[in-house]
Amino acid sequence: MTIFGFLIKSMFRRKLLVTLSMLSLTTAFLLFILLRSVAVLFSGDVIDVPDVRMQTNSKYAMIFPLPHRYGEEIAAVEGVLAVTFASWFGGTFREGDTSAMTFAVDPSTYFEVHENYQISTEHLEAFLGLRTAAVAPEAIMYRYDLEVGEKVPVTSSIYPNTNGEPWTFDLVGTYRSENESEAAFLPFLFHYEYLKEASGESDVGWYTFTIEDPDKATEIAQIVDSKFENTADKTKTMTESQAFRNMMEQFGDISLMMNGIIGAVFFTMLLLTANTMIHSYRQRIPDLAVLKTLGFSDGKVARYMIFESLLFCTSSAAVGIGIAVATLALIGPYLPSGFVLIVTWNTLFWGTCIAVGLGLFIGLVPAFSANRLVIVDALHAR
Amino acid sequence: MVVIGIGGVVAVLVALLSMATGLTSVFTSSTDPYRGVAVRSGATGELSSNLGLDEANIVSTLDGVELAAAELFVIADIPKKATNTAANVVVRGVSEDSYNIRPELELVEGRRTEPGKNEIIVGTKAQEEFIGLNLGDIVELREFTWTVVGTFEADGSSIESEIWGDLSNVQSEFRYEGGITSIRLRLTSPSLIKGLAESIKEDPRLQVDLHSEQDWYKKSLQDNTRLIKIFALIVGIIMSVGAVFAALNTMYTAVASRTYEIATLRAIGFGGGPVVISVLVESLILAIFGGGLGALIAYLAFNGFTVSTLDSTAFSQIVFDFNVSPFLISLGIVVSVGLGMIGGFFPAIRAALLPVTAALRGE
Repeated sequence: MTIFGFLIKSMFRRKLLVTLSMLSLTTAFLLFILLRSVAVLFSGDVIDVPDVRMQTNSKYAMIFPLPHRYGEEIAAVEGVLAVTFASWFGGTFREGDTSAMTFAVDPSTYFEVHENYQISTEHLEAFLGLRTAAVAPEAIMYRYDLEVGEKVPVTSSIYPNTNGEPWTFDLVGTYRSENESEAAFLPFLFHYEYLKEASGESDVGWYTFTIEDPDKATEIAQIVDSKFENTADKTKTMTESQAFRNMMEQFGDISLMMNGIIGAVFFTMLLLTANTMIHSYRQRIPDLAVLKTLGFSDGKVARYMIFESLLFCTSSAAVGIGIAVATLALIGPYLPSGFVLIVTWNTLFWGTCIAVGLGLFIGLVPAFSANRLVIVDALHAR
Repeated sequence: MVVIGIGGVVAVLVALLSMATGLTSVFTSSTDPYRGVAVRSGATGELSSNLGLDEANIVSTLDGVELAAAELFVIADIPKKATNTAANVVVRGVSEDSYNIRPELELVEGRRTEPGKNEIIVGTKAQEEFIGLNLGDIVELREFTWTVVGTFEADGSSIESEIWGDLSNVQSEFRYEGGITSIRLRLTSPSLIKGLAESIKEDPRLQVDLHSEQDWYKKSLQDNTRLIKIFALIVGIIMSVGAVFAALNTMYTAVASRTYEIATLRAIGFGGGPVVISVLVESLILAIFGGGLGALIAYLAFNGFTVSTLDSTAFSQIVFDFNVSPFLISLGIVVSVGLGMIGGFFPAIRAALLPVTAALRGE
């Protein structure tokens, strides 16, 4: 029998006890991954967009509009490659639903700036060619059951249509992004010109532009903002990922809460698991004594105890993490738009660290006592 | 161990739900059936509403309207104490009648703003959460500076997260000349609201929807608490599963270590029933004790704990306290009883099925 086989055999000496403990530890790790993914979302770290994309908003709050003419001035700044703009439309696809990501944009420049968005030439041409055209990302198509070629009614509480009816857009295409973190935040896009004609809107929501050199981001942000410093509509420019992080920070103490719950969960599980290990150790004192009688050294027996608890913790963790990852992959498409739950490498790393740490910690007491075990007493206990 | 496992579940569940309860009370605590909110047709929040003062004047003359106050809702960036990063705060430009319509508003310090001056009064919740909103502080909002001349409470309602200034000043400094976002009404009778809403809808001079105050906040409430509730449910269920395993574990161990005693009981004539019941009762007592402890921890750690989050309807910060209500505490106890039952049941059956003679021989 190999050492590994021996460890597994001895770990499962009390089948029921160990299985139940493993299951409760598994749920702890399952929760850990789920809660971390929520915490990561609200910390704004989920978005990993190219650092060459920057965003200019109103200085006072991102909901305030900016004049249409700023686009040209931003484009004139050295190091700026392409500029586009968007306006938050706040459209809802179904009655009573919360508003989905729906932007009024300039179709030709929008895809130039968001060069990593993938759209077929055919769809892009259809989008450019029709004033009432719209394109939707896969997440929105899936969630609201839309199909290319359909007329899509959208209501907006910000821009009510003049006749009181919903707006209708011709959905002519779809687009996607390879960037998994970005994919859930992709908006439904339609022509700004259409909105402008129908509502008389002359300002835009914000500007997005690409720069040549990501290292010059701070510098360019300052130049852009200083251009509008003496106007009534002052601006605030930053990288898109920073803007996103600021936005998520507004949700406030949610990631703090998540981490608090994780702490509570692990504290509980630590006590429970430690208890089980100590129990299982006590029942096995005679076995250990037999091992020692057979000539296994004190250190070796102690190491077995540590390895056993490590094996116990890491295998529970692996199962828990596996279930969590599978669950997230399954429920992903059903979450509200903008709700992207991903398992980062950082989360996996900490999950592994906790599993190993927990294993070492709860293995120590039994290992220490096993080390000091006196054979005669132990055999006598039998 | 049953105590710790179930205590942990109950503590987390109660804490999460107390967050939802606290947020709920912000939107429901001071709604009054006499009051209504008029906004632009189709607007779902004040953020997407815009009206003119002439519309407010028309509405104020309608039958059944006792008081009408034109208000302007704008958003300003103020750094939060917790993170030192700017977050959206509601700045509300109000008229004299805004105070008369909301008798729950009580000044805690200072005085009301004087017309024509750049003065503001600050809700206590906003003051707690944001930097530099104490009495006498000078605050920069947009391009102009304002002096804090008072702080107010309002029965824990959402306006405690707001900053109030004089309507005409807010209009001019925030560049909304003559614009308002809502008309707050007080009616002579709650039963009038439906009829009034219909006559406003048909009035060709008005592009306005009238909502009862209750309906108006219901949407904010649903938008904001739905996710927390779903989340609490999911976390609660997963943790409960973990705790049931732990409880089973403990009770099996307890039964195993008392094999001899149980067998003795059986030998002197106790039937299977009493043994099952004794194990179940033990598990229940431990579970209830754990549940009570968990609820107590949640209460001590979280009751009154103030946090803020983004009100997704108003796109601004809403500050609220966790509220560990008696209902949540009893819910926690009920959950712990359920978990204790499951955790004790199978071990109890095993205890009852112990082969008496073998157990007595210590096998």
